[in-house]
Amino acid sequence: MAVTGRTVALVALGIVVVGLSPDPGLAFVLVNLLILLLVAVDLGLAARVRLCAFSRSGPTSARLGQPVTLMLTVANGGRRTLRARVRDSWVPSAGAQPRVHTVTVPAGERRFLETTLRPTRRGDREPVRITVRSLGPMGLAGRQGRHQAPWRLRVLPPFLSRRHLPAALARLREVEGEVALRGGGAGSEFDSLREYVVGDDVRTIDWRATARHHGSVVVRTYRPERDRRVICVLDSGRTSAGRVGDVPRLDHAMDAALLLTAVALRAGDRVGLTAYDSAARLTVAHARDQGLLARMSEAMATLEPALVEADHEVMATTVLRAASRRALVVIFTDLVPAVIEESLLPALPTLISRHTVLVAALRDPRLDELAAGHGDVAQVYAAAAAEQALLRRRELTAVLRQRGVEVVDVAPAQYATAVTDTYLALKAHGRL
Amino acid sequence: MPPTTPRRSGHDRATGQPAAAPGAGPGSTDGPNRPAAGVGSPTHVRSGPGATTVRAALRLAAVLATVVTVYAVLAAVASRPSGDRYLDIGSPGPHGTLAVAEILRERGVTVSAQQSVPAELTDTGPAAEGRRSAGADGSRTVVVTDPDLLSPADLQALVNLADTGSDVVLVAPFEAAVAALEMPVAAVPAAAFADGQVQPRCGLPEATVAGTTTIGADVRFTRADDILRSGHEGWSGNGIELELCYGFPDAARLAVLTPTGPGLTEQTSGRLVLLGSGDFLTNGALDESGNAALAVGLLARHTQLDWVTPAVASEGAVGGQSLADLLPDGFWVGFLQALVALVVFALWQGRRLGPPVTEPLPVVVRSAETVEGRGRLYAAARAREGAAAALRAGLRVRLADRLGIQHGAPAGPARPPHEPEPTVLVAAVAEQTGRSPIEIRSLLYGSDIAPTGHPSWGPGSHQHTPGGGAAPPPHGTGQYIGPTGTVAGAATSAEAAPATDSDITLVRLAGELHELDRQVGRR
Repeated sequence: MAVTGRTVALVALGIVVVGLSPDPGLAFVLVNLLILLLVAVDLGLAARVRLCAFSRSGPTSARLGQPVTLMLTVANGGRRTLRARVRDSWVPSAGAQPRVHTVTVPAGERRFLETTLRPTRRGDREPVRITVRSLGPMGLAGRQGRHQAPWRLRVLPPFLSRRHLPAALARLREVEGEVALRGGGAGSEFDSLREYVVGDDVRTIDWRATARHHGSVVVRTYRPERDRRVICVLDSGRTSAGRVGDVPRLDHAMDAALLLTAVALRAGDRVGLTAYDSAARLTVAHARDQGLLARMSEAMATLEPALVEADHEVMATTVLRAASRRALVVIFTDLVPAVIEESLLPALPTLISRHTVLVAALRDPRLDELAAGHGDVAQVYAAAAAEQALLRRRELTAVLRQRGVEVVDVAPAQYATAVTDTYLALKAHGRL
Repeated sequence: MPPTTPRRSGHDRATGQPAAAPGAGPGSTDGPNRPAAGVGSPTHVRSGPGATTVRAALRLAAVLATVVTVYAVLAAVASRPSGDRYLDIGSPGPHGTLAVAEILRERGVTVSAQQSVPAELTDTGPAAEGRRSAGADGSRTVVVTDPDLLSPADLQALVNLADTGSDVVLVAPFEAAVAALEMPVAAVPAAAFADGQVQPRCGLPEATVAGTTTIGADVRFTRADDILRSGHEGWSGNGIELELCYGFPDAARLAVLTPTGPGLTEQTSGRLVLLGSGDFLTNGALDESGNAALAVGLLARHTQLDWVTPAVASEGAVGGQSLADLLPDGFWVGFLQALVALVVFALWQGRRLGPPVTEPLPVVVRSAETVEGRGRLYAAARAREGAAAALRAGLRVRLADRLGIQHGAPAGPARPPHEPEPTVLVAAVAEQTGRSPIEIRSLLYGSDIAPTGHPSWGPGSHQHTPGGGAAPPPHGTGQYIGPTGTVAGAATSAEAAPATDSDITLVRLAGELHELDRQVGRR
């Protein structure tokens, strides 16, 4: 039961009628009785809310930042025309628009309402309820009721670094030697035989093949190894909850991991995904099919940072169990001295002995900003703290490199490309 | 996905749900999976308060009703008149007037308390004429403690009563009441006059006997000649004698009006007495100076005294004339209708289209927050040496990077891996900027040439260096400690010695370092 602005207007009109009538008391009673009667009649003629049915259709997943339009179908199963205001309520971060639909559904028919979602956060978004207010023919009062039409929209990571993909693929082709550059592609895997041209390294001459070929010298060409393995390891511990710019570290890491996966798939490598904090959170098995990128996005969508310390030992065990062959392990984490020293360094030796390890850390540009401050006392102290933090990162980087770990420590703008470039450099040097 | 046909309920419930989320989401418990009741459609959900809520609300209402009833009963019991009301003839408190009543009773006066002026006194029929002719036999004294609550008709009746031989005493009548008497007297607001002892300054016998009193001055009276001049006479057929006492004639605290005429003597005539205040009658003030004598003189002229305390304002009271009386009847009913409109408006606005939706949100913290917090901690602890050392170390590393000096090239065992060779760095920077090496060295290293590692101070900070090297000995807070010791057998703790003893010096040092940074960056 709900009244509308029209009822209020009628009652307000009653003020004038009552005030000017010769018998105000009688007029008061009559006016209000009349309004009450009208409201009761209108309410009685309103379509019954429980007789309508709702269903949805539309996409079930979207990248963050893409608007999604879902169709909400209202079917009127009653014998009266449904004149309704319908609120399709979602959680706030789903960004559902419009908030309220106004719809008229004749008896026995269906109408379609469009709800556009502009999600502001990764993860699963679900509608909460549908509230229907069915108004009477005079629009004075209405009945109100509630419906459910479950749906789930999975909001995937935005993969903003997609725009770097063409450039990364171009570099990949350079590495693979498909571009006319001097020399062939780098790498150690045998690719093919061809005739010697001036400038080729004499060490690459295949004497046996030359003997079979009459009159020309034959050289071997090499290419980067294919069918190598890459494991993206996401740290979803407490440090990944920190915002850099306006995005949590974890989301930056996902973006970089997606670009790396896209490039590695094109390069013919197998890619797997693991996330961990105090325990392993999710695992996507190694694969090299094109569906992997979608599967990884899907798996990442619901991953949220946990407010616990990341356990790198658990990570090492998980990775060792998952990868029997040599692989490139890319650990997306932060260079926090306490965590790295207490947890990662002890776990490193077993990892390094079997795999190539790349630690991809995101450097907060705010640190450099703070370090440049010299205006007043507070700024100078903040600058000192920032310088200290930067020196610590530097020192950790040095320690990790000393142990044979590749380290990337760059600002968000170059993060994804830097990780991919390091992967390509390792590939070019045959270190995968 | 085929849309649900609304009329078929029950067996196709699942078709309204996406394949991706069968039976999932908030609707899974009380939503479509619940058996559809009666004629309801599959997606409908019962809403509104549940049975438990209704029961709880009823219980709350019962408790509230009990509390209100108990309070009302208690309030009714407690509010019976028992307090010390002002000018209450039954009250022995400092504001009551029991004392004066007792004195009068001892003198043979019958004192009776009234809540309104007795009707037989105010009727103007032949009985009044009879009383008048009967002289002093039916005469009495009527005291009205709050004459502003009387209507003009009542006041006129009292005036006539005074004409028939009775005494009428009005306590502190305000302007409207005095004007309604239609007598040659007017009230003067008494704002600027101080109370206290006053002389009678008039010929009234009672006042002369009483002498100095503390009769108050809530209202003062003066002669109003214009009423006389207009030819109006308060008492038909009789003249009026006005006596103003206690105060100047234009602001007296006591006014006594006596009808004069043939056959009227001082003993037989009634009179109208206006008191500036009733304070001198109260138990608290009665024993001061001549108050008691004045009270007895004014009130004990007749054997019957009616002490009238108007309980409620009579209709059309002179003091209670309000805007409400001037408005037409329709206004109030219209106002009631406006209230109804307000209620309906509240119903319209108060009925929401479904409750607000809540959502658990992940924690988001700015990543650099810990660093900023640490900076503020340093500032609070005034760790200037540490701050200066950190700034210098940071700049050294940046400069070495920029000038292409290999940090670890001749890496000594005692130097952290990122720290450049001091002499090489100083020479390179001096060449780049054209400033003297000594100046550069003192800027980059303080006054001490000893290469300093990353700064670290106080127990609990990062003293453990994973690159190898012994942890430094603990040292007092605020002191700078080279974490890996110093070269060439120097002392283990090398303090950054420049005069960073005040924040201003520190800021200046930061400025100079920044300047140096800028110069080298210019190339």
